[in-house]
Amino acid sequence: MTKVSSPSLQRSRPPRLGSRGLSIVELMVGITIGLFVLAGATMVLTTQLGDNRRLLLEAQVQQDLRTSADFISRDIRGAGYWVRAFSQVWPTVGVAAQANPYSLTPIATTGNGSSVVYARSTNDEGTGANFEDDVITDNERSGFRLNAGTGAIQVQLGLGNWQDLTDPNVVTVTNFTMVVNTTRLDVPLDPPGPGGCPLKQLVRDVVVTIEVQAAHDSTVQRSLSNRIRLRNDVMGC
Amino acid sequence: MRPSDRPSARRSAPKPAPRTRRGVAALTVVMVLFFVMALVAAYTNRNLIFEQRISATSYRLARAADAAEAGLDWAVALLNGGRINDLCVPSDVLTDLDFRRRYLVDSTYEVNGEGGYSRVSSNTTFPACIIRDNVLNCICPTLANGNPGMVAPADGVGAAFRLNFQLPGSDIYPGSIAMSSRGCASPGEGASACYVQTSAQVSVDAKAGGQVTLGLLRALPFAPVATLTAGRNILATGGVLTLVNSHANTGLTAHAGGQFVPTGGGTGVFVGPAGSGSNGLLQNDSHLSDLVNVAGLADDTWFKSMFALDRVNYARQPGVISLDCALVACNSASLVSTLGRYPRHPIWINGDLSITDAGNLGSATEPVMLIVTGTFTVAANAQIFGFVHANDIAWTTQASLQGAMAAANDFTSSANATLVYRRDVLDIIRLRYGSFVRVPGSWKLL
Repeated sequence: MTKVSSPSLQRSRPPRLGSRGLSIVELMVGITIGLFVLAGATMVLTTQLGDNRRLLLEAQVQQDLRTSADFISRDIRGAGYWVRAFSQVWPTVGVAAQANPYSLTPIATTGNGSSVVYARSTNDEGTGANFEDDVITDNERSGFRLNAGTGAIQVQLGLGNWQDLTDPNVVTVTNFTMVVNTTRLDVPLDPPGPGGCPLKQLVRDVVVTIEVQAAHDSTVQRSLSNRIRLRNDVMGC
Repeated sequence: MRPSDRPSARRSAPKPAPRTRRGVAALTVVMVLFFVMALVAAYTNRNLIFEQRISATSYRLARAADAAEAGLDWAVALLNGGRINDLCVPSDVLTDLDFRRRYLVDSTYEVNGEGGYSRVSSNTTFPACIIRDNVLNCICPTLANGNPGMVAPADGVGAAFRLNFQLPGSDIYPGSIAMSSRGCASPGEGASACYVQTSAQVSVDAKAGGQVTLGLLRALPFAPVATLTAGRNILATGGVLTLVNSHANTGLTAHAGGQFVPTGGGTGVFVGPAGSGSNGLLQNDSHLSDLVNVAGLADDTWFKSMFALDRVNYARQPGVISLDCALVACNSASLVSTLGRYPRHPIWINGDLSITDAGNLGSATEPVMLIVTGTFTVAANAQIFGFVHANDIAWTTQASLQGAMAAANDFTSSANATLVYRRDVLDIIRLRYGSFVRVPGSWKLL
């Protein structure tokens, strides 16, 4: 039906005004509308780019914050770990029970908690190359501190070897504290503990608070607080 | 589009039709442009999705770590608990083993000292649980019974853990055992599930692990040196009191703060180690009587000298099973029922206990350990294997004991009583009975 009638439709179409081109008024109106649309789109794009930049910063800040908090909680949870902990259990034949050398050095906090150092064993049991010698060697010392100069949290990898944990080019740490809380539980034994005081079981937790801001934009700020129960209790006073 | 419409359309409105068509094209173009812009906006906001992913990963890791930690605590609780079936549910069926017997083996290797535990070294089975909606769904398979099969949730939701027992170091050390826990953020399925009974790698959302060493807090730190120990007197008011100790290293038959007093036809026979020529009778030992007389019976001085712990804390240990007999004295039935559910546990009897059933109580390989805060009465012809400590002991019917006995106050026998010192029986109690606790300084992340 359509095929039959279309030739007659084309033949009978009269000349139209529109085929002569655009008038100046039409052009101006078109450009004006175009400019309005362009202005709107540019505004949206600018906002979008700004938001995007902020989001990226926030993600970076968040990521640095989370990574360092995770790292700290994983490491400090094992403070006082001793490979030969079983030597505390039971006096074996001819050998007395031994005290844990890694918990004899308590967690040392300085600068209101902005620097914390502790020890844990990284040795292996047995007689291999890295055998447990019951001595806190330099590489078994760990710790965290705030380097106020660069605004970075640093981790101690071996005695005196501090390395940045956060990237000072991305985030500036404005506040970092690690507060160690100790609960002393009575041990129902008559013999005194080390130092002659009644023996106690020291149950510890650490509250880590980190406040950071983006290095490039001080309005992007984040803070995180984590309470970590240390798994290795200390027998002491 | 009907042919009859064409002439009228041509006549009345020749211009509007093409303009309408142009408008539709513009609208389409604008819509496409908007769609492209929306895509660009969504693409630039992919950081948001990135954040979501990191949060999810962090959450899964926390779930896995919590499951691993829960596994360690669960195992400590079960090691101090009683009989369980293959689904780790408490049981009183005498053929069911307790958790210790399922996964720990008494070691005869004594280079580092007596009483070491070892792990099942070949064809190891692993206890495991799925945690779903705060409900534990567990399996405690043994080599003999096989794997009862874990019923995992069909939707795969729930945290899980699996435990593995190890030697605490490179060797067997007395009284300690190590265990590691594998925590998973999801149970997984098939051969790569978290609870699988092989060493295969698991395929789950996230996994974490922890290791800890456990030490045995001994229920009887020192075996008594005499067949019968009494803080005050040993009274024989009838029958023959026979005390035998053939163990040369101890040699005492009766050790009393007071005296052996035979009255009303009661006699005593004391047999020391062969060839020693001694009857092993040690009376009027002021070291012993001072423990009860100076501080008084109500004080913990005597108790601490026996068990190295005060009464309140001793009874509170997780491995000590309490039986409340304060209002009504307990009899053999209640004791046997408790021992059925908690084999090889020290039983703390708060009040008086009377042995009313004849026959064996305990055995040479599974002796009983009873701590009676009141009076322990033997009122039936029983044969007791193990160690009994009571405030007072009254022996009213002919019976026997293999092991040792201690009374803080008096021991009174009015019938034939045969007590034989059995060091092997006492050593089983001394080396294997007690509570498993975490050793400080042994926890590490795996």
